[in-house]
Amino acid sequence: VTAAESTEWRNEAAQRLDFPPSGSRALSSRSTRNRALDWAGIAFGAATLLAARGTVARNGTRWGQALGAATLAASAAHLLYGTRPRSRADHVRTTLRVNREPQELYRFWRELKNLPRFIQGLESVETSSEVRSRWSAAAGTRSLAWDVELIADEPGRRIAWCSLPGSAVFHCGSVRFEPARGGRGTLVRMDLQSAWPAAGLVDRALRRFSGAERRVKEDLRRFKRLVETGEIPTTSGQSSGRARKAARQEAAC
Amino acid sequence: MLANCWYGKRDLRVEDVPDPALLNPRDAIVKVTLTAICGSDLHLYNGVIPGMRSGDILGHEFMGEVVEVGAEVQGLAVGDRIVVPFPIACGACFSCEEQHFSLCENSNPNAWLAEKLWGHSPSGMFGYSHIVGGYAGGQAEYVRVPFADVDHVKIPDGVADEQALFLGDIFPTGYMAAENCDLRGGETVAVWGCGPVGQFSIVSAYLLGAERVIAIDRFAERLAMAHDLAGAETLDYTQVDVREALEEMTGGRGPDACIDAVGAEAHGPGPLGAYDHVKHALMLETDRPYALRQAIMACRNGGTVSVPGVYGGFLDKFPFGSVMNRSLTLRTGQTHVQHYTRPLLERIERGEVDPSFVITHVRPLREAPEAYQMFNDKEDGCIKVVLAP
Repeated sequence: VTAAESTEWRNEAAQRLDFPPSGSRALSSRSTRNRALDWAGIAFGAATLLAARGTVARNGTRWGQALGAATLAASAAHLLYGTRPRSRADHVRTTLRVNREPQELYRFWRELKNLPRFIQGLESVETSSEVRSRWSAAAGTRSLAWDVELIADEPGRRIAWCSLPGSAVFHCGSVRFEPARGGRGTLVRMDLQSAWPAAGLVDRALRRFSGAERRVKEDLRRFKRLVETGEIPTTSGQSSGRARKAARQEAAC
Repeated sequence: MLANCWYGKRDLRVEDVPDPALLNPRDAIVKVTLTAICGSDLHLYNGVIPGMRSGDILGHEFMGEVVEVGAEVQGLAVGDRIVVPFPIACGACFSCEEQHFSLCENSNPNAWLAEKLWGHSPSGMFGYSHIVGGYAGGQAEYVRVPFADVDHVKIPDGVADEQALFLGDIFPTGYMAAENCDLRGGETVAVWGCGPVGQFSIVSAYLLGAERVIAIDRFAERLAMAHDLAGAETLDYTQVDVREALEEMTGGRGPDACIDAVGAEAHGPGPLGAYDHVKHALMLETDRPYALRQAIMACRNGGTVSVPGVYGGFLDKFPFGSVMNRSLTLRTGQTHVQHYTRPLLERIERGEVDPSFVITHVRPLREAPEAYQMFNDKEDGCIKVVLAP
């Protein structure tokens, strides 16, 4: 992430972050349409390729195969690299209802060192002043760190933050705590934009398919679980018939 | 420790696996003194429920002695003798506050998976596929119980293990099925399936005021238990046309309430039964709803169809026109066990019900795979097996 890109994103994010009053979806519809076209291309390419296999033996022509392969490759490449401008960061908006008061949720979130407890991959947040903090996360085998500044802090209602221009990571987020109607908890609305540096080809492909959206939604769900129950339910580390079997196989090798 | 593990369709093995450990502050570890095979475990045994992984520890009906508690567990101590409800519930979310414990919003770590299949996620459950969390089950010497402060009922000394065990699932399940019928006294209730849940549905329907309960099955020993021990009139569907018999018995009106205690793997006579078997075998249908279709068609106008039977996915030829045009009420759900444990324990203590009447076999845990096979194939008059570790 270059300094210029980062500054540009930051300005953009500062304007865009947070839910627009009338829930405009303009941001995502374009890329969804493009993606559908890419998938259609992949399906068409694969079908042509399969259909052409049968005819090769009979008339010797490979045009069908070539057309299929070309369409397939072009669509797949476009899906991986072309659906959004290269410099556009992931942008995710999501809402979850939490069975607690807005004030309590705000206080928990405002204590930024709590964030690594529910944001997966985030290793630590160290606060250096009222508005500045240093965040670090695991990125594959290495660790990344960046400085974050609060850009909005409305007690009991909203917190927004952004990485400083020129940081290794671009990460801007906003979280709002709206009382749900009828006193039934709080609607927690999250809005996040992020981009990670220098991802390799495989990394990019994986990220495109694993989806920032799913990751953010799971993090928000972990937040809900942590504040409602005091822990995040898990089965990781429980016993099963798998561990012993694997150990036996190892011993046998 | 020894644990009964699932390795595939009809492939269970009792293996030596690592002992469970506390993973969260509200966990407890329970030394299992008695566990059981549930009819719904047979759906796993037969590979009907998706989302199982090789090596999963089975079992969601179990009780035992608390041997370890996490730092945040209140109101539960080492040495307590408890039954653990099969749905895992946090006690703090909206659903738990509504007493809908099997819909706990927080206990299923794989909620996103369930959301893909069902729209929203139910609670996590012990030993019942990774769609509901993949929690290690209780057919083992020890088991980890999450949210142990909420998910237990303490058993007093006067109540035997065999009497208390079924508070974790099948007694509350039969009871909720009957409660869902909204009985006010004097009703006729028909129950499809005389397995353990069917038996408890019959008993509970009487407790809640039904005048007459008609039970339907094809196995002589199950019909005999329903008749002799639970007090129902019985119909053998291989001997009589069930619809016709019910019309006859109710003067053409149909039962006021119908309970489907069969679920996804129903057997039915005739072409429709065969149709379901073929589609099911070809994986064109996830469930075989033969009993449910019949329960709907048989129910009286404006009556209630209550479904404690387990279904996993999509039903074929579901007579929704009958439900709509005849103002039927459909009520179902995984049992909100925690809501029922204390009142039902009191009924056991007062001697109103002795749930141990359904037990036909007691086996050591080591013989779990053979016990499943016997239960599944209805050999040796098997209705309910309990396993002692």
